[in-house]
Amino acid sequence: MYPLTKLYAQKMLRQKLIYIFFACFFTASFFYAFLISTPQMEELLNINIGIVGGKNFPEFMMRFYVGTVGILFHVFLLTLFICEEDRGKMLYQPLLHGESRSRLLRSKTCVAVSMSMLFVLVTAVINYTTAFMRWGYKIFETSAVIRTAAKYLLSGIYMSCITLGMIALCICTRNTLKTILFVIVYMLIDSLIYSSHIIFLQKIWIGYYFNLWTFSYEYQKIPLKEMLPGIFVMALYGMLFYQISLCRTKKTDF
Amino acid sequence: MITRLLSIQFARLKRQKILYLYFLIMAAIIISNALQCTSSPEENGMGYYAGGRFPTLCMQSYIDIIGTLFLGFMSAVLICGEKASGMFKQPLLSGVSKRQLIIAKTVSIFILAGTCFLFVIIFSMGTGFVVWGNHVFDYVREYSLQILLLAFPQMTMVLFFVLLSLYMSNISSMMCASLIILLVNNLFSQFFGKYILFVDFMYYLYAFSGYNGMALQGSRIVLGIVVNLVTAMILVYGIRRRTDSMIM
Repeated sequence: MYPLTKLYAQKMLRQKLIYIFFACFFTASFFYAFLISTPQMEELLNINIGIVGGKNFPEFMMRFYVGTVGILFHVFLLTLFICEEDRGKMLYQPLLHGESRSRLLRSKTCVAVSMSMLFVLVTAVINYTTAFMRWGYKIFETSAVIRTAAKYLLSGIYMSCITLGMIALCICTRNTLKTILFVIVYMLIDSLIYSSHIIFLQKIWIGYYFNLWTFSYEYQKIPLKEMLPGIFVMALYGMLFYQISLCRTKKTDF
Repeated sequence: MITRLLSIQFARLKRQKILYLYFLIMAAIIISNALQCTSSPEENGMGYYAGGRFPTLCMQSYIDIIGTLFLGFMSAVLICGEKASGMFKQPLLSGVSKRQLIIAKTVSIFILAGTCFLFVIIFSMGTGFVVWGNHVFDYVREYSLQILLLAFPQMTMVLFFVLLSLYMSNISSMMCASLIILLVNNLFSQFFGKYILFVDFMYYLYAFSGYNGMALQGSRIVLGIVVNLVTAMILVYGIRRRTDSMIM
């Protein structure tokens, strides 16, 4: 691993908030697995344990992370990782030691994207662990496991592209507040576009496919014809965000 | 001096674009709630809130995550952001004491919290009136009591965020901490309500708004007010200690 990337990875892993967040997520997943089975809780939370429990539980819990909470957690971490470092004049330190601007961005991007994939993986491990503790081997039904794994993988791709967008925002605005503000606006527009019936806009919107996979194909297999265009649109957005970040990094006076 | 400091804080608040964005988001949520109540009343029990109980539904949407996270964000902007950029030093150089500065900030966040909450109530009543006419006032006594009671946990919440901001070094870490606390609290309030009701003031944000059909009992109301007042006193003590010991 390149030394700068390694340094940034170590810096990221030193954030105690990450461990606290996943400890809380494990607690939440554990309690959901064990307590939603009671009739009172089923009624209170308006769910049917027959549908959301057992083999479907990891998919049910995935939504808790990859939706609003995961995006907010990512933006808070990334602003800490880029904007706050920029404000503390830490971004130009590697430049003084002979690193190029594009190398700096590549290292940051590599760590941030790996982090977003890793977080989705950690979420999957946590959800499968708690589901196994509650329902045992029943959760490992081959078709359900493959379907859930595909959804986690697609969520990882979505979160990685969103992370690239957040990096571009952090570099363009160089301000924590503005970045968080734009991400909140994105989430608002995302839900509006998904509930709208403007098909053209939906087809080119990055968040639409994730919502489609999560809500329209809930506990169902996603057909390939719905999966491939989504991955393609997300990859395009990802590349665009990366190019914007690269252009801005070259022009910015850190 | 406090009045001058307050007017500076308000001027600063008025310049925050996120405040206007918040009003826009809340208005969109309220309108979408009203549409959901009318178009699919059987979904998630929305029919129960159609008409007279509509403001209660909007209050629940507000306290669920958006309102509390927004208050945390504004505290982070006014305290962590300014502390990190060295803006705290400016008023101190003009003879203002540290305590006066923190009091002015706390009061401005209190007023902001009140304004945001009032906006939700007034806008939800207005939207309800447009959709259901006079029926929106059918349960006015019920939700007036909820509004009154919710003032207590919200007041304690503001004090909590001020204390948290004083300990956090920047906006991002403050927001991460707020998000984690809110998620944990949401979880505890749903599953362990009967165990945490003696210690957790945030539980009453849910209890007083009738979240998930929680019933309002007389003893619970008294206990909620006592828990909130005691927590508020502890938080004020914490804020005072932190303000005195903090190097700005």
